[in-house]
Order: sequence, then structure tokens, then C-alpha cells
Amino acid sequence: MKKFIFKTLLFLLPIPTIIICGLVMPTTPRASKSLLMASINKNSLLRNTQSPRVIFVGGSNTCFGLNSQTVYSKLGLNPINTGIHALIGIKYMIDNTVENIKKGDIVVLIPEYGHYYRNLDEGSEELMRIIFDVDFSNIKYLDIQQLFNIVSFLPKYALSKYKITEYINIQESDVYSVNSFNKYGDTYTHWGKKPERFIPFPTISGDFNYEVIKYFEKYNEEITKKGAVLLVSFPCYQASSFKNSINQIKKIEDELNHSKLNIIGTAKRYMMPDSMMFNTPYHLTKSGVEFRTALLIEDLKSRAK
Amino acid sequence: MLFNSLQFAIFLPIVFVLYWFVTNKNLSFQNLLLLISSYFFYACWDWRFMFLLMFSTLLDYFTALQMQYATNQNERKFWFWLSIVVNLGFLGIFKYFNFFSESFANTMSYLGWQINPLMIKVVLPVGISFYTFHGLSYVIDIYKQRIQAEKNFVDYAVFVSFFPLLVAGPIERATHLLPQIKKERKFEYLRAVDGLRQILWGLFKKVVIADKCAIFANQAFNNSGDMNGSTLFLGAIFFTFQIYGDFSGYSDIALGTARLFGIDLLRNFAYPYFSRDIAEFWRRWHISLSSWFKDYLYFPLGGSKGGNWMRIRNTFIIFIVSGFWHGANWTFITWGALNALFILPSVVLQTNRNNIDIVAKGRSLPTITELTQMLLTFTLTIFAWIFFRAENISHALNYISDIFSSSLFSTPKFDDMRQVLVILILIVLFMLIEWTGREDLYAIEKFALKYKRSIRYIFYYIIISAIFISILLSTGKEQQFIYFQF
Repeated sequence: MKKFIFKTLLFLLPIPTIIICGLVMPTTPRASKSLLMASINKNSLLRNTQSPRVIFVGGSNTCFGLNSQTVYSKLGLNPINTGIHALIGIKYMIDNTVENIKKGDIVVLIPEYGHYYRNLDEGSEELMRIIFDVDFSNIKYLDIQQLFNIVSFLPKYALSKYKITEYINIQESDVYSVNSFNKYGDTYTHWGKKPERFIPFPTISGDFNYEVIKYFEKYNEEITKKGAVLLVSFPCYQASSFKNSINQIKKIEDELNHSKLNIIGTAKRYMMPDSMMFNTPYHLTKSGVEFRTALLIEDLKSRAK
Repeated sequence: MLFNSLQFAIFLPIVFVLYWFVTNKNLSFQNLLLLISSYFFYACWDWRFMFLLMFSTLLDYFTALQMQYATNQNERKFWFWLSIVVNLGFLGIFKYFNFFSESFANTMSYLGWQINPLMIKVVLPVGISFYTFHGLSYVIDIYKQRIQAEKNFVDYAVFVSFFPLLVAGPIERATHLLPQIKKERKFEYLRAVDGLRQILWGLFKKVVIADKCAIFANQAFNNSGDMNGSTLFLGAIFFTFQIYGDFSGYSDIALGTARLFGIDLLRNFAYPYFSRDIAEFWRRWHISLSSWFKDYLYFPLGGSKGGNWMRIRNTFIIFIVSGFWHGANWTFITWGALNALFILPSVVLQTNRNNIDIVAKGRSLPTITELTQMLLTFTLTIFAWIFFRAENISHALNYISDIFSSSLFSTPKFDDMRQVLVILILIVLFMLIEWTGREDLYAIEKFALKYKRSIRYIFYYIIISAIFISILLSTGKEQQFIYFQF
């Protein structure tokens, strides 16, 4: 028996060795160009932008769906768009911003609809990559469940370090790159491009996750103590995809309206025509960005009144 | 918890160490550990359904004892039918209710009455078809007085829920598994090594063959309206290898895992794609289900004793029921009926037991006749799998008619043709290894043992590397096994 265990471990030893080496190897040149790297700049914006500020927190619907320059011009607030990718998980997005919230900040939280179902609020592969590729010290923000979620992606991540294509012949994406963001954190390099064909999202699956609302309420308490204001809004969402999940979205809206949170706008208001979508049901073209930004500004103004 | 997940890679060694180091002195503790581990394994999917599994186990345990101690035949009959009705009732509600309701509404609408089908929103509990069949075989065997009822509840519960077989079989028999559970088990080095080797081969089949084939099978089937004939044909071939790699890979991991605990499970696959006729195919594909239907349905219906008419009727019944067992969809029923049609000539001519031994036994190559027979059987199998994979009957029919269009001889159009080529080469290599090892329990059982250790290790590391490279090229999350949905 001991012989079996010893020989099995010896035989399998190269596997953990390769994985551990992969994990400790530096970030590859390809990963250094990824859009996740933008979180360094975005965190810097959070630390250094002067008050009065409006901070947008969400997934890619936030970075692909806002023109912060217009927000600045119309509201006179300094905008910070922290959105990068939904699969980082709304929980991490919140935890990553909380320590840099200052007195007088207006925080507009715009989770994507999937964040309210199952455990997508906790993040996925992108969360693992943001920790291992961008800033390992941010692992302090993760709870046990998030750690457990990202562990399953580690072998793939570690092995990716041995891929030759991570080091040579790297062609930087002009849409999904660290350089695709403007000075406020909006993705802007796709604004002049033609929309791409894509399939609408199917019905959102899984059970409603009530913990998400509770977490937002806790976040609200924390930033209220700091003298800031939290507003929760709805993501821009392609009409065809919206119709596929209309009951799930209604459930979200009902739960938010019954919570202690300050809600601005309605889900239907941010349902966008298919013609305004760029390459996913959450990403807008330039005209879509302007339309959505105008709606959000209206909602923020009416809230201020 | 999937066999190809990191969670299982952590779970298995923990249970293994506890089993052989902590509870090894006492068989009852070992079985209790297996039971707790199995329930934990099942609860990782959805803990709520654990109670359904417990209830089903308790029901069969209790009714079996009642049958054994019944003082008259009516009492025995009562307990027997209670178990059958409740077991099939659960299966019917969770798996078939919506299908029957919808089919009834459709039939009514054909007759001019419009009714809204009553639909229930329930998730299908993982493995329900498998553990229900475990329980049914046990209860039927007790009723037929083939075996004695098990008095020890833990032992019986392990028989039903032993984690390697819990969610996708093999469908065990009490006569085979229960005696092993009740017997003291000693650790055997060679058996454990063999178990690990079979797990490795199962992982290769699943991760390298099935998951890679799935990418292009899905492309073809999900966009069949936009694909040309050659792409659809290749898509059907990819699905044929996907389902084989997926299910036989699962079975290999299950058998290998059980062997680590000193338990031998029933063999489920025996190189079905080397079959020379459909009857042989069904003796080599999902063996535990085929033999279940043979013993508990075909023989009770009269088997082949009553002449041609009865043979034909019974053949159709078991194939259609077998198709229906896979899922509540007309595609599965058609798939079953097609297989019945394919097997019919050999049933009528009584040539269905012509090919019992593995093809080309003791030889390296098949004869031209054997090769032709294998290719013909394989082609029929591909044809039937199209129905199995399609969304509905019209999807399957359109898919087939699009294959046999003029574009059958044009260049296939998948997203990544270079990867298609790599997978086709992998399939050829895989089938060569399977061919070489076809006289053994699984393909690499003795394949590498012929060579010295260094070469053997290189061979194993190549397999491991292929698994890891496949994981690297995948989406990162492990892929579900197809048969979990049944």
C-alpha cells in the first residue's frame, strides 16, 4: 500500500511541479496586453481622481456602454468607469472599489443580469486572471467560495504559460486590450467600427441569488458611512436577449425595488434596440453609447432633484 | 462533482487514504465511509436530490425485506408493486411527465381540441435512471426469489449509491456487487495500479477524444441549416466518437476508481465500433443496460421462444423502451426503433449470435469480409446517432437530407479546419490503440506492459500530456458527461 502511494506520487510529481512553475512564472506578454490589465489604471483613477466624482461599477456593459466625457460635460462630476468584464464577478468589483470611495462620491452600481443568478456574482476565470496576472495582493478580497471557484482554472492558467503563442507573434486586439480604454476608463476603440453579428443570449438559467441583494445592501451601508451615495441601475441589454429573459429580469427589478437600495431607472428603459449593439448583448455601438449615456444622465439628474 | 474535475482529483485520494488507512480494520466502517463519501459526491450536484436517493434506497430496502418475510403471495405482490410503482412514478414525474403531457396536447390538437399541456418545472435529478434501475433489479430479483433480501442497510445503500457508478452506471446487479460489498477487501497493488491505468485511459477518451469531437459535432448540429453535406457528414462522425469517448471514458474511470477500492464493477463497453453486425454492437455498447433490458424485459416478454412474430415484437419493445430510457424525446424513441430495424434481419434469420468473439481474434488484421462488415455496421451506427443527437425528428431528417445533397463532395467548412485535421489524426491514433488492445478489458490494459519500464512511462506521460494540452486548449471548465442527463 505504502509502495503504491509512494510510486503513484512519484509518477505524478511532474504534474504539480509543472503547474506550480507555471503559476509562479511572470505574466506572459500576451496577458500583459489583455483588457484585464486596465484594472491597474482604473484603480489608479479611483485613488487619484479629484472630487466631486461619479464612479461607475459593473461589468463590460459599463465600459462598453458609457461616454464619460458626456457625463463630465453634463453633470460636472469627474467620472471613473471601473467596468472591465462581468466574469470578474460583481462581488470582487465592489470589494475592489470600497477602500477608495471618498466622502461625496456618487457610486452607480450596474451589475449585469447574470450576476443576480446562481453564483456568477462570485466571478470566474477572469477573476483568477486578474489576481494572478494583474495584482496578486488583491487575493485578500476573495472569500472561500471565490477561492474555490478560481482554483479549477489554475491548471489551465499555469499551462498557458508554456504556450509559445503567449510569447511570440502577439497581435494586440483593438477592442479587448489594455489600450482600448480612454482616460475615464470607457472602451472607445470600437466606436468607429461596424457592428458584428452575434447570437442573442438565451434565457438566464439558475435560481435567483438573494445573497447578491444582501451584499449590495451591506455595500450601501459601508459607503454611506464614508459619506458617499450608492445608486443601483440596470445594464444596457439587447432587446432580443431582454425578451428571452423577461421573467428573470422582472424578478431582479422586483427584488431591487423591495430592497433598501436607491434604484435609478427601470430595466425596460435600458433595453436597447438590436441595431445599437456592437458584438454582444451588453456592448453598445457609438450611437448606442450616446443614447444610453443620455438616459443615465437623465436618471442621475432626476435623482438629484 | 465530475470525474474530470479538480474537486474529484482532491476527493478521490482523500477517500482512498481514509478507506485503506483509517477504516481498513473494519468492513462495516469501510462501507460506512463509502456510503458517506457517495452521498457527499452526489450532494455536490444538488443536495436536495440526496433525499430522493435516500427515499428510493429506503423504499427498496424496506419493500425487499417485507417481500422476504411475507406470509403469502398476495402480500409479496403488494410490496413488489408498491416498489415498482413508486420507483417508476418518480422516474415518470421527473423525466417523462412533460413529454407525455405535451404529446397528449399535440395529439388532441390533431383531433381538433386545443388544450394547454400541463407542464411541471423540475430539474432532472442526476443519475435517477441509473439508481432507479439498480433498485428495480434488486426488487425484481427478490420477488423472483433469485436472491435473499439484504438486511444490513448500509451494505444495501452502498450497492445503490457507490459513487463511481452512481450517476452514470454501469447498472449493477445485486448478485454481482452486493457479495463484494459484504466481503472483506484486501489492498492489492497490481489491481490498484490497473485501476489507475484504466482511469488514465478513461480521462484520455473523455478529455482528448470526446471533448474535442464535441466542439465540431456541436458546430455541425447547432448550425446544420448553414452547413454543407460534407461538414454535416463529418459532424455526425465527430458525434459518433464524442459519445463513445464520453460514455466509455466515464465507464473506464468508474471501473478504475472502483478497483482502487477493491471492487470490480460490470464491464460496460467492449470495443463496440469493431462490431461486425448490429447484434454484436449491442453486446458491446452499454452492456450493463442491454443486459438489464434482456433479463428484466426481453425474457419476461417471452424472449425468442415464441417464433418469429414474438421475436420481432419483443425486439422492437426492448429497443424502443431502451431509447425512451435515454430521454423523453421522440428522437431517442426513433433511435431505438432504428436500431430494432437494423437488428431485425439477424433476429429473423437467427444469425444474431454469429459474432460472439472479438473480431480478428489472435490476428493483427481483419479479413476483407470482416472489414466490410465493420464499416457497414459503423455506417449504420452513425446514421442512428444523428437521431440521438438531433433536437427533434425534423432536425434529424433535414440533417440527413442535407448530407445527401450535392455538397457532400465539397470541402467541409468548420471554423478551424486545422484543428479538425488534428482531431481526425487523434481519432485514427485512438482507434489504432483500441484495435491493438481489443482483446483486453480496456485498450491499454496490457498495451504498454509488453515494453520495458522507460518506454511504458513515456507512453503514459504522452497520454497525460495529451490530456493536459486538451485542457489547455479548452474553455477551462470541465465538460459534463453526456450520460449524466439520462
